[in-house]
Amino acid sequence: MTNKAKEILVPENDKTLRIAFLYVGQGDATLLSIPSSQGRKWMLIDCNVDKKAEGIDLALLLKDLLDDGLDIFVNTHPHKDHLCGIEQISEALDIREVWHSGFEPKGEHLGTYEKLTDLIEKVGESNTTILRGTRSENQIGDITYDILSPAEHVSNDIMSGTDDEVNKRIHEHCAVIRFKHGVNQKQVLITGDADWVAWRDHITGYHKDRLPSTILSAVHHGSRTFFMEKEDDEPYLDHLKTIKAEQLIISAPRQSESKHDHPHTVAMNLYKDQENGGFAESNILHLGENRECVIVDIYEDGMYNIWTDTELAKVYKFQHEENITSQPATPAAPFKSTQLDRKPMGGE
Amino acid sequence: MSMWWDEHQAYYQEQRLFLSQNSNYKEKTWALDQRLISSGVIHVRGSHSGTFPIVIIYPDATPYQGPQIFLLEEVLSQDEVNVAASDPNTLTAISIAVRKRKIYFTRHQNLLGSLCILETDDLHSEQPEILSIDKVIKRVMDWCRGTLTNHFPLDTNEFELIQHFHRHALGLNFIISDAFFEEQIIEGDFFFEKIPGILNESFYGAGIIGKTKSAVIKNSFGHTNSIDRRLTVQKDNWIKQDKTVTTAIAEQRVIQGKWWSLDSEPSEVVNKQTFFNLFRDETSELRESWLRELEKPLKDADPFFYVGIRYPNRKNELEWSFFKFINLGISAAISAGATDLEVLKQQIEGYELEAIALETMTEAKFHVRNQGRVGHDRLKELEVTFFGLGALGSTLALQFAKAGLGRLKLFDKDRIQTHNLIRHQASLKHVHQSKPEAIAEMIENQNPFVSSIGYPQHSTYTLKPEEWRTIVGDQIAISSIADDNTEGYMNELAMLENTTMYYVRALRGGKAARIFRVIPGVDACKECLTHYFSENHPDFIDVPEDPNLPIITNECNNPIRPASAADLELISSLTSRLVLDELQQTTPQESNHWVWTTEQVEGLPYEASTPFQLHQRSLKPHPNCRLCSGTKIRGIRIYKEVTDFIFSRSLTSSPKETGGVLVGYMKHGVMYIVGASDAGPESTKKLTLFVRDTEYCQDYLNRYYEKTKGLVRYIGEWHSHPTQSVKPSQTDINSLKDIANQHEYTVNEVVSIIVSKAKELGVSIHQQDGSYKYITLLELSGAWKGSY
Repeated sequence: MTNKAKEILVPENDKTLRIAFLYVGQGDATLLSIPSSQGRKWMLIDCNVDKKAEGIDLALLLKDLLDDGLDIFVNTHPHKDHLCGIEQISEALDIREVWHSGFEPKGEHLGTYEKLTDLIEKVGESNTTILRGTRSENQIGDITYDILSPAEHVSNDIMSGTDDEVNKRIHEHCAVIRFKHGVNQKQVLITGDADWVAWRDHITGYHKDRLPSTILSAVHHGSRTFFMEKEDDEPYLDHLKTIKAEQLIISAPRQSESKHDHPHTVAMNLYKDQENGGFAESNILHLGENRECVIVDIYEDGMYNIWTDTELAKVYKFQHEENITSQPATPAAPFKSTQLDRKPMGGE
Repeated sequence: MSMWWDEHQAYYQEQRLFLSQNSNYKEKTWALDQRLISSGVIHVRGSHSGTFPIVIIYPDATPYQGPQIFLLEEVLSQDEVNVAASDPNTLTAISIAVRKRKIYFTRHQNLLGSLCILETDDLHSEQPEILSIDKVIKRVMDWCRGTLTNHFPLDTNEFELIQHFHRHALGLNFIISDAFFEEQIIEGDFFFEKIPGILNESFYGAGIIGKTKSAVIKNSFGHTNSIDRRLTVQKDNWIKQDKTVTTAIAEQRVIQGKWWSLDSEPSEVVNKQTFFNLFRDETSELRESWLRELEKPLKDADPFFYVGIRYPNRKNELEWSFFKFINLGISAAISAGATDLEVLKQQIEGYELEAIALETMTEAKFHVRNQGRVGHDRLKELEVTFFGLGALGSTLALQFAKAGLGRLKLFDKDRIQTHNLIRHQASLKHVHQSKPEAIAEMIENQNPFVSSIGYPQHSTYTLKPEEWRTIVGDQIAISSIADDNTEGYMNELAMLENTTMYYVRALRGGKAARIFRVIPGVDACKECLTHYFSENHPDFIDVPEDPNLPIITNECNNPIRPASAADLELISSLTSRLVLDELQQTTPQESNHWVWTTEQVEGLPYEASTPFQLHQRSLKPHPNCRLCSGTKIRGIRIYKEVTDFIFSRSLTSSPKETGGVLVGYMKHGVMYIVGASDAGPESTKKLTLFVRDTEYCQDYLNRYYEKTKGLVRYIGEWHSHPTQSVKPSQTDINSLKDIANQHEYTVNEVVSIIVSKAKELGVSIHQQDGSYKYITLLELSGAWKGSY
């Protein structure tokens, strides 16, 4: 018997690359279903737990979806909004390989980071890959990909300085990967939280030919750090003009629910500026706005479709206590059986 | 305000929320009053992108009836939405939607502009299947994407290409069968005939003639079903275009027209001009070659003529559409001689074009609704004989015909009488017709792909073993005669000829029934049951009569209890299901005896008395049964090739004895002898002694055993006598007794064939106690083909 996860996330055609940007509130979780002659490979890039913003419970969803476990977990950088819940996922299903940036965070991110090191220990060194930018193309299954960041030469001096300095620098050295598929190739650019300094100093110039992409996953949940340090700074726009994407996907909760006000209004305005590599408004899909997942299918011939799904977020959201009373009106369809809960009555 | 909406306001509130929070659908206007209406655009994003204005109308029967989606030229204004939502009559909302409808000329959009892709189809759920609005939007989005990519999500519903054609030929219906799907023919003529009395005045497709890609003329006429045989204009008439054809055309009993193949399904065929677009050249003019093919009717200014197109549809299956050209009175006949192309173009402009309703009735499509429950590929290869065509038998026969059984043989000696009709499948028009003929006729009208033979006025008693062998043989038969004497006689014949029988009879006025199977040698036969009955065997469920029911007599003056069609059709259906299941299995199920009750019967054991249950038992052949006891081999069949071999070897060896081993297999108590070995080089052949070459014969056995994976094994011995005698000698008897007793031979009884000087065969079966009995050998033609 099938379930919602399988119904929505398993492509019908064996040769289709499906990329699902799962709604996880203030964080990222991108699931790739990769066509391969040895059967589909499943890759999860980052994960997060955000009960307050009603994000998806990834462990629950992946357990439903993957009977044979997860082939690869990719961590773009070791911050908790990209790693939270990895312990539960790893307990729920078998993970066979880990790719990560190789950096160690400090302060508040350390607790979650330890779960990643536990997982790395579990899968073993031979099944662990440290991501480093390269100009040579890689292949997995029937698709190809380019690792654009972190740059090979920046890896050594990252750990010096205060916690904040280290954590900020980790954004400079976050993994950026471009996945490609189809005869008439289409590309999806996964950017993690790579900030404008990284793009200016290490990525845009060096990887110029490898940047153009059909679909761009907005950096850092739609944060201005893709363009600038502070709101009033002159924005850096060369990367956006080079990427020249058609569709933008923003993995963030509603701005009002985000403790960092993601997506930043100043960034959104730049994203909408079509003269500087921005997007038509209908081509910007913000996951949190309608609590949706965005699904991209790239076919063997290079055609692609992109649409949103509202069902996964409804079916797999965390059931958490404080929110039960503020649920939207219970569907009153007459055919659903009654589900009672505790209701104290009477008393003096 | 509708009652449901009054009671379930939260449902609409929730729908409102979902509609406003879905990036695939951008809601622009909405109103919630008597009903919920929402209008906005569907966004299709990706390599093909676009926006599609729609309106979503929630009907009064929400949520049991899903929302209706209309494709629009533009989004409804707030005023329009307000009016649509406020009128208690849903038709107002629909008419507002229809006014702004946009037709995409694509399957699954109805003439009014709404989509029919939203049917719910979860058959597993007991509760109403309600499609969430998210899913509705996703389906509409996928359909909209299909209008851009021509790749629609696959589904089961068919929708005719010509659904949106502006004019339809009223009262004209075509039905085509397998003949029209001959792929090699790519264009030519088609032929239809109207058959009086069936298909309700529709024209049935007789066949097509035309040229192949390599310009060879071929034809394809129907032969798969009985309608094909009922046509009055035959294939040869059509090919020769003789007087039969011209007369039939003049009498409008037949239709002939021209047709062409297309490489793919046309995207838009809605009127004459879009139809012409299929036949234009590079300069957008009508192709001369195409017009020339219509030259005759155009020059004659025929009042009408017919054309057809065939194309692979979106499921890559061949599909047809037919059209009728009608002279509007503008085009007049042109004198004979060469006609200018421009004149033909003018002539055809004087015609209007109408689409013709079409149904495809190929053998596969005809049986498609049986899929999964009765496999047509298997059933159409089988035949079943029906003894008794009363209320039970007529229902059984028609159910098997509907299942698509290849051939039915029908036995009953009686005619239909008016008193039968109250429970029978036959009707007033069959009164005084013999039952087999009436049922055969009904079968032909029910499933023309099934063949049936009636044996009218044929008492089962008149069947001799040879006839039984020819008609029934080792196939399957079902008896609903419910007469112990007749069924006793049939039991003897069936056991002798290895027929698998099913017996069914209603008990207690149809409130109970007994169905049992007899595979000879495997199941208790009818005679075994009398032993079990007299022993009060616990597995034989004895259903007592109901003395309170009246007694009437049947056609044979036998006393019977009345029963209603409701009871009897239930019993027939149970029987059909049991037999159909077994026909589709490779090995029969363990149960062979079924008792059905619809009431609690006093005196039955507790577990067998629960009403509306089928109680299953397994009864094996009874040790005291005259037909089943004694030797387990009840019959022997031998292939002619084997007897020929035995004769030729004994002739060569004469006057000295020779022989060898016999190999074969057993099926349902009958031993099939498929081979006999030679004596071997080391054998001893004397006038009164023969000893086979053990090593040589062992090799022979091993080869068979391996080749047939153990099916064909050692079964006995053959040898020749130089005399006229085919009686086993004491030496023979002793050796055969030893064989039966030695474990190494893996047989408990041994077949012996002795061939005399006069080419007579003596066949005996030898037991472990040394006893033996003669048995008649039945010869099968040719050689064993290795099939079992």
